[in-house]
Amino acid sequence: MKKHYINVRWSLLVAIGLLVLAAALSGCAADTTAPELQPRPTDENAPTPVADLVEVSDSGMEMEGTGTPEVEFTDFACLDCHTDEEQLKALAVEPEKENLSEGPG
Amino acid sequence: MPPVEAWQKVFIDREAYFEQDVHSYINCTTCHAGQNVDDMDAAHEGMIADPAADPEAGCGDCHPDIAPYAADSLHFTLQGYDTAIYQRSSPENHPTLEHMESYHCSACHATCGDCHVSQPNAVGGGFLEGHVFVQTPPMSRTCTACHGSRVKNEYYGLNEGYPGDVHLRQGRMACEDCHDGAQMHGIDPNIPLDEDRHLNANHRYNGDREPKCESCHEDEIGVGSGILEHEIHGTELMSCQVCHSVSYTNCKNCHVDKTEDDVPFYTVEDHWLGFFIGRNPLQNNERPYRYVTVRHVPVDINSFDKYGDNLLDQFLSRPTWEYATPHNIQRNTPQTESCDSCHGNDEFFLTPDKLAQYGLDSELGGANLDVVVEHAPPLPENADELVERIKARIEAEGGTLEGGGMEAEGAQGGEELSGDEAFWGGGEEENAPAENADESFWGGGEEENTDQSAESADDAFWGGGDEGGADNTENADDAFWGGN
Repeated sequence: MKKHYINVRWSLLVAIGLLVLAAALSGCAADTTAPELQPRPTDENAPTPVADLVEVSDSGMEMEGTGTPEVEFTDFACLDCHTDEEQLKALAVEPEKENLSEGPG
Repeated sequence: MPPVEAWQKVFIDREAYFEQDVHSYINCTTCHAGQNVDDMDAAHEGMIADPAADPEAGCGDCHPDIAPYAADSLHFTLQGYDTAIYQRSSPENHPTLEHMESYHCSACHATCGDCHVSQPNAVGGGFLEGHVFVQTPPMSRTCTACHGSRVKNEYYGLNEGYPGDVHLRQGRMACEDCHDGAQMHGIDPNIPLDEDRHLNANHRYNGDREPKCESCHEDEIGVGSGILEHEIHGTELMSCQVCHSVSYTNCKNCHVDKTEDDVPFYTVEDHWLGFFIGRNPLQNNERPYRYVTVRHVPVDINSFDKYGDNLLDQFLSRPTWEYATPHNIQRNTPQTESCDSCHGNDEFFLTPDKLAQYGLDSELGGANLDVVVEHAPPLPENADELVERIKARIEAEGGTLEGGGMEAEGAQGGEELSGDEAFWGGGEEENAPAENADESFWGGGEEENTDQSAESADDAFWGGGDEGGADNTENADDAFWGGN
């Protein structure tokens, strides 16, 4: 009888120990809960992100680490014509050269 | 300079521009206005051909360290013309003269784009490298395209019978190797970056004397140089050009006019090659010399008569023989042949008879009297004693008198080279600077500069467009974005 009592007592101790251990280990688990994200506080004096800029006057700002400004070129009508050699030749008008000056200038 | 066809002048090298130039991030219409549309007329309506015509508005946002100064530089304002012309006139004539200048002078002014994007408008314009911005403008297509009849001919050796400047022949130096960016842009480099750095010069020979020969030749000038002639003459008696330049272009009787269609033109009635030592009309602390080379400038008392009578009513308030810095420097010149070349010999001096010789006797008066030399200075009676004393001092100081000059030339076999070959430099100089006696004179401190410049100058000067562009890309960002 006494022996049975000891076994029960040991069983209870082991069970309690396991519960304590489980509770302790549960404190090390990743916290999967997270607070609700709040909007980042804004600073009205902070510079506008370069990516939002289209004005050339501000294009001096560089994207960090890239060494180049992030401003998108969009004037392709101008560019397409001024890079088209044949078209420029067709459209170009040679100015009349009139040099009436004499002697070293 | 090769002619540029009309289409080439506006042809953008798409690949080069977008690969090399950070300006390609900027839309065309942002700088040039107009519209980004297919119709040519509509696209060009309101277009600004040269945004840098207003340097601060066109370039100043990104280049605040340069544009405001460039806008006030002599290259942009041409104030040097005003200074010279107005000094020969009275205030009541200035508005008329300003009107004249709007036809005959204004076309010469240089905007940022006139050197860094295109050839100057005054010489026809046209992109240098397909709209790629060129940090160091190519010398022959920009600098000497405008500064042609005098500087270019002298420096390149295009005046018949006279060699090019030794800095080109041996040093392969381009303009910017002496005339640095600060000077070109009207910046005083001695003023800190955060202060007003305006050079505030109203003429190229007013204000600081830049560039200075001694910047490179520090050890070869004046007392302590070990060069006998330099020891004797010191640093304040005469400018370096008095001994080390040769004949240069002088002009007279330039008259301006315009056609019924308002096309301006000019006529220079006479020009000639000559070398003249005169008294220094600008003598001051910066330019203390008693004697300098002087050049007859094209102006005539009737130069602007088409615009009004007697506009230059104070004609001789300013010398017509002006302080000059010929760009044809040589180690050996007729003046350096012996002491007697200059002392007691009127040949090289602007004596009164020279004015008569060139039909300019009417100009013998006013400010020219401060320039004309009555007679060449005689050799001092104690010259031999003086020379011996200086020699002894040099030797006592451990000098060898072999640094250059006539004495050294003799010591190094200069006798054999004392004829035309030595004077005209022969052909050997270009390829054998290390073996040439000139090195001892031009050497020392200059070598570093020359070596550096040989790398950078060749590209710029010899027009290696692509290479120049490639070189520029290394530090283009710093320069463009205004680093420092």
